[in-house]
Amino acid sequence: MVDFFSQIINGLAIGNVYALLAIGFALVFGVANLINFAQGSLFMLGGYLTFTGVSYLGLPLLPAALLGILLTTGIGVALDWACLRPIQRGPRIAPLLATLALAVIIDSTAELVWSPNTQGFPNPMADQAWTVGNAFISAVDLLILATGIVCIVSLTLFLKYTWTGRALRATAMDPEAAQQMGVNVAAMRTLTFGLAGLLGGIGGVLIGLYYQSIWPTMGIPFGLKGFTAALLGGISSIPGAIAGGLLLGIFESLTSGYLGSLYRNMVAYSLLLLVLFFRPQGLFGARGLDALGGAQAAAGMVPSTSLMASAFSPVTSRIYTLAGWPALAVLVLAVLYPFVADRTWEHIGTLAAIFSLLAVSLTVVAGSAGQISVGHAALFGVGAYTAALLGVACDLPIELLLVAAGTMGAIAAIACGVVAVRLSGHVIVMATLASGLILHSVFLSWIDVTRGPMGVRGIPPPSVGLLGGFSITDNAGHYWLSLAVLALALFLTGRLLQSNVGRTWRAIREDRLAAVAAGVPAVRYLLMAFAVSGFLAGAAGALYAHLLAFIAPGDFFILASFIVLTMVVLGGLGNLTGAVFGAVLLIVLTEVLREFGEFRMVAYGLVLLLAIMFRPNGLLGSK
Amino acid sequence: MSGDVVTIDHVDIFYGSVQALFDVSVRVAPGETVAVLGGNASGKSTTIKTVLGLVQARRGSVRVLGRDIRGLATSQVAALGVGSIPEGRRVFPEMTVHENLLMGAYLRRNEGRRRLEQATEEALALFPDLRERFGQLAGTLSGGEQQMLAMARAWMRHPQLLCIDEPSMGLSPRFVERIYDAIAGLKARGVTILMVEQSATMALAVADRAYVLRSGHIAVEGEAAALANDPSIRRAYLGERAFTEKETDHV
Repeated sequence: MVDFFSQIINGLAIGNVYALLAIGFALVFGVANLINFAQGSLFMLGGYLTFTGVSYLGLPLLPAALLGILLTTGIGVALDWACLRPIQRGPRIAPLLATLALAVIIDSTAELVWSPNTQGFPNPMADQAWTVGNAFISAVDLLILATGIVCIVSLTLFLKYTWTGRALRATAMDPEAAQQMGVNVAAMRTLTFGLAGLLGGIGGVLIGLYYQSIWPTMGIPFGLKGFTAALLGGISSIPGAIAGGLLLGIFESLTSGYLGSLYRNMVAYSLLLLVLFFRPQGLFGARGLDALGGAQAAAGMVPSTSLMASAFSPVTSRIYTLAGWPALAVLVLAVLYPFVADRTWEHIGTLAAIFSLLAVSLTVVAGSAGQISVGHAALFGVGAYTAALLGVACDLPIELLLVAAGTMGAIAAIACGVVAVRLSGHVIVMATLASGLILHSVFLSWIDVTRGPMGVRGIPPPSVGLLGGFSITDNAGHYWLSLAVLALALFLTGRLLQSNVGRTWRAIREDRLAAVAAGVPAVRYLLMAFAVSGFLAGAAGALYAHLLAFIAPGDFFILASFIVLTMVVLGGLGNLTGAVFGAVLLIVLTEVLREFGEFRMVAYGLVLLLAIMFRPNGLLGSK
Repeated sequence: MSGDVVTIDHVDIFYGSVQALFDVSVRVAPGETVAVLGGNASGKSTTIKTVLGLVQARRGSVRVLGRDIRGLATSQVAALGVGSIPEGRRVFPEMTVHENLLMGAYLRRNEGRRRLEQATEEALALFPDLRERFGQLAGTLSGGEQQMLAMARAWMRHPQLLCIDEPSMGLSPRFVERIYDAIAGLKARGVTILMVEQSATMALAVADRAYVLRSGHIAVEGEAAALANDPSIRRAYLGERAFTEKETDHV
């Protein structure tokens, strides 16, 4: 029997941690006007640095924790200095993608340093607990509650009653006016990132104590939930962040208590989507936030400038594309490729074609329509599962499977899109990320259909209906099949982007309000972009499933989405040639980096970060 | 002229590749009130931004209170003794009136509680409307009250130079008069004022000297009274109709 009161205590404890993370998001959003994806990574580092202090340096827990939290604070400041400040004036999407890249770099570095496995976290209070009535209260619960309350109260007092705190709030409300009052805005930014690191670090230690374990990817779920909490509270309000954190904690705790812990994440992410859908300004989002450009601007209620538009000098970088005869020449060369490649490189060529298709799919929605999607691998997964399960169950030609997978991908994309099209800017990234995570947990937990973590095995080789049911078994055949699909997709997408539809997408991307004012049904057009993109991603998934003959949920996790996003940003958002170029480049890079094994993700992150910092419009230019 | 509070010397300002000011020179002597007039996109707001260090000159030099401000951040310029009443008021909406006033005194934060309370009391005496709004969030005030707050906030600094950007913008005529009374009050207390304004009548009435900007060039400069009384200048640069309408308002 689940005791209600225990669940509440438990929820309050976890909720306090969410609140700390949410405050970090809110502060950074207010002052630096960006959503810091690396917040979760700082949280993870807090836990790991403390763990290192105890396990390797032999420090007692308290000094180790203080040292770990201090280091995390410093890292928070350093990240801003080294990576985010230099691109402040760049395209609006740049800092966001940069924090995403930083998160990947930090998380995968942690895997290298401390191993990808879960590690035990020292907890001297593990056995101390009391029973009050039916309720079970542990010492850790109380510690978390006490720490959380101390942090929250002191932070509130600091912001309300000190000169520096007031200056920080003033900077968040109006940096230019604050400057004219003599406030050093750059110093306030440093302070903000320090505070975010500090709160993240504290959260990491508390969660380490709570679960008595830490793991390198722990920053992803907790970061997301911290953001959910911030969003619940209206993103830039500190009291809102606190209330949002506590509410989310209690809600989650009750869900896992009464429905089972399997649903914990799914429910949390669904809550995020629901809030984004119904109240993008947050549960407590007040009208007053408008002045901050707060929830409204974040949620894209206020049409903002293009994601790719630069704040100051418009970037007029050269755009490189291939079309017409040169494109045909490249296609001929690509067709001839298997005659010079060995079996391994044929396989790599096939992967390059499949990921090119996926990158094309993403660049349609993220580039041309300006709706950055970070959950794209899930759509790829929907297609892969559709084709795999149909292929295993009955004997169907690949053409039919491609259409079926594409259709399912399009349906899933529209479902994600329904939430996303109402938003823009930073928040859409969160919405698509949450959609991706929900789909991933469906792959993982809908065991009757997807076979859960075991994956789907024995997917038959594709049989081509047009060739009289010819079954493809060799690598060259797979390559030509994927190339044919890619070429067709490129041709059709290219036509589409040059048509009225493509122009309308770009118009919405550049100035949604103006487009709507000109009579464009923006929502319908954006849903169309999602559908086209989902179809292409689903088709790519079908090719992928039949190439590998085995798929598992891990193939479609955030990291895969991230890789595709890297390809697209690298090639230049909205540029089809660039998408293919980026995909081929990264797939080949993966192969070349294979001997580096685990360093690969770090390398990916670095490539993306450097690309954003030095070529924010991609190697081939945004279109 | 080293004794000047502001010396803008042959300055060119660019926004990206667009030039906003062409070879502009403006000076403000101690105790003087100088108005920079002009229509939309004439470059008058850019002139104030130049003095505040919000934009950097590509050519020419800017000296404020005896220092070349090249490379100084806006907060450092403020620390020289410059107070600012920004365009559109820019009060901190989610802070109370009291907190806004304290932000105005941010650079005096080490002077001790007593002196700041005294400064707050002075500011409330100058702008009595704010007294009853003292604990209210600034975002909930009316436009005119916000302008009063922005002025009081700048006064909290006890600035040696006060920069005022379009004080009458978006205000009802009744409030415009009160704002200008307040500006005249600050002038009487010996503050040096550089103001930018679109509607010329009020500005010329309070100013000692004025510059008229047109498309980023200085078209006319001179004594405020002389400019106000020269019909050809009024017609050519300041908009005759605006004048007559405003003047009939006053009668």
